[in-house]
Amino acid sequence: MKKDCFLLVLDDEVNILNALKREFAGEPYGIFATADSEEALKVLKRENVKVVMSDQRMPDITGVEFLKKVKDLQPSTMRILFTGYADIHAAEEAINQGEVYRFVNKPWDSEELKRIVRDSIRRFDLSEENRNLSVLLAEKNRFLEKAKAELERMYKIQAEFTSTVSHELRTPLSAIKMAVDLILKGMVGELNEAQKKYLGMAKGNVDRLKRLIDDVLDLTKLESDIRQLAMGKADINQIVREVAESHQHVAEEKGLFLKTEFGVGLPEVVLNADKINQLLSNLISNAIKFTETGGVTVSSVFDADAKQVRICVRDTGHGISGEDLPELFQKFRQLGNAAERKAGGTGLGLAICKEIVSRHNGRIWAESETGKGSSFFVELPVS
Amino acid sequence: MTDKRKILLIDDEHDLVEMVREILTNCGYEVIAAYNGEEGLQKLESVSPDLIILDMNMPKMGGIAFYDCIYNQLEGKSRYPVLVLTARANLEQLFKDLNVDGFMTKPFEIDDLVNEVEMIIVKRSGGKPVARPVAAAKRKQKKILLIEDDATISGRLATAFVNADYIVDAAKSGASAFEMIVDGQPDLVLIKLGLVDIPGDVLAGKLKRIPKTSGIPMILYSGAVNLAVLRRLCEKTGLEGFVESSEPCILLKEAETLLARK
Repeated sequence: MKKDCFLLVLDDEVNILNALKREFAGEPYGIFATADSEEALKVLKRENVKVVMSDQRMPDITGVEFLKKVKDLQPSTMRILFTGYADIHAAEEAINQGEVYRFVNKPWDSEELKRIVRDSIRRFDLSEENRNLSVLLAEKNRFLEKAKAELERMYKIQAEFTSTVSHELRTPLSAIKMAVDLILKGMVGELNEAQKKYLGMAKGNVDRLKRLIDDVLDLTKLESDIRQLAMGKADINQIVREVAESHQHVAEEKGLFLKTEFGVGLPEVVLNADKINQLLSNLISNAIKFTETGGVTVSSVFDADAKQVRICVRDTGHGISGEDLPELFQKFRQLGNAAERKAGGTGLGLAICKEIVSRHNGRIWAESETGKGSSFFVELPVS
Repeated sequence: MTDKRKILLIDDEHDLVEMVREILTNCGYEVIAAYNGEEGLQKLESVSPDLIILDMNMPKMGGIAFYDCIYNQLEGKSRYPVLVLTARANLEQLFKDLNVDGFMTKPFEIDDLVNEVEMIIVKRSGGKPVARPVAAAKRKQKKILLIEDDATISGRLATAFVNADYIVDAAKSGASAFEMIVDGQPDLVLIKLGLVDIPGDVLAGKLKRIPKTSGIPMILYSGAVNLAVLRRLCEKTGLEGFVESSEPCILLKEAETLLARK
């Protein structure tokens, strides 16, 4: 039978060595028995030795000394001292100093000795496994650290790239915009109605492209900045009031109402006021954009059980169809009919909203009934 | 011809230069064009412009290098009024680095450019600061912009002002202040003296130099220096008020006094 691990025995008495060889012949591990400590150390270096057992009293080296050499060479090996009764003190001391794992008295009890060796091997295997696991864990950690650093680097590159590209796009765009605006303003001569109409289309699209560039930059900034946003405690109702107020005239111009319903007893929420402002502003201007009659209601409630503050932006617009709802918050998923496209969105507004909400550990979703209107909900945790 | 205001326009985009020249000439200005910083410096040998419109990214000599050449160390400002043209992406950095009279982000509206140019030239020739923006006048509540980089103090001040029925915007750095004032049109700005990125008095100096923001009352506050120092800083930068504390109730009182006076 091929044996892949070994018990190493050092004793100066050859008949003891022989007796031990016979004793362990039937065990699942092999045995090396020698009277020469140098040879024993060579075996230790060469073979997979899990347990070393040594006699204490030998002419050229004591067992404790030998086992110390073993420990220096292979610290994980289990070491057993094999002693006569007279050496009990040496054995105790060796155990106390951590040099040996067990000691065995001579003369030995055959079953007990085998049990001790088996126990030592199991112990060796366990600590080996433990060591392997921590090495693995450390490796995994290093890998994760590296992956995280790499991700941060990639995000940074992306942000820099986007910033450069948007800068480069803005330069020609500003020349186009200025040319179109110059002509439209009649600064280089009168325009007829058709010319005005088509140039107006060009202007609308130039302005849309400008917003798109701004939004792309905004979203990239948000995504690449994986550091925590600067947070502060704030009164949600105050932010809602402010954003609603700033959209009041746009709603009025379109003949829509824009009202607020404030929940009572709202606790302060830890948030980044600028971002939440931007979020609500996006939702409210969307609601106004897609509503022709009726209006928009912004409400806030505190769900004390769930420890959440919930804001709802509800409109009486034409609604969103069921199959479009899940796609709503993805980049460039503008919902497709021509009337909506005419509204001049960039397809990034809701993606930005989602990013903002997730950076607050919150949740955003929409509910809608075609023809009756849509509601957008934002839930922010109250810590 | 000679009484026309002169504008030196420095931008490497030929098309843009031609159009801006057309627009500003129509508005009654004399426009001298240069296509990079070096050319701009050459023009300055023979012309003394009332305003320099300066692009940032240019070959040979860029906007920042040009600005450094016309910067007067002694006075701590450029020798001519400067309106910077920039893409929005690096506005905060430019605001921090440069001490100029205005920023225009590309692409811009023609009317905005004309207004901005007019504002700077009127202000530089001793005219009155520009009237309050419409957005601010339409609001029922007064809006405060708080520039404070300590989150705890910022939170405490914001709460106090919100409780007193103000709308509060909070900026966490001096560099973001300019954009926030332009976007938010506050009725009053509170500036902490000991800001980390730009000292509060330097920030106030920048904002007071830019016509677009100079009309808004500003209060400088600090719990760390004495009244005499603050008073001197405020007089130097033309600030409306100063408070030697960052206690909410004291600042609130000063803000109310100042807004009532307006």
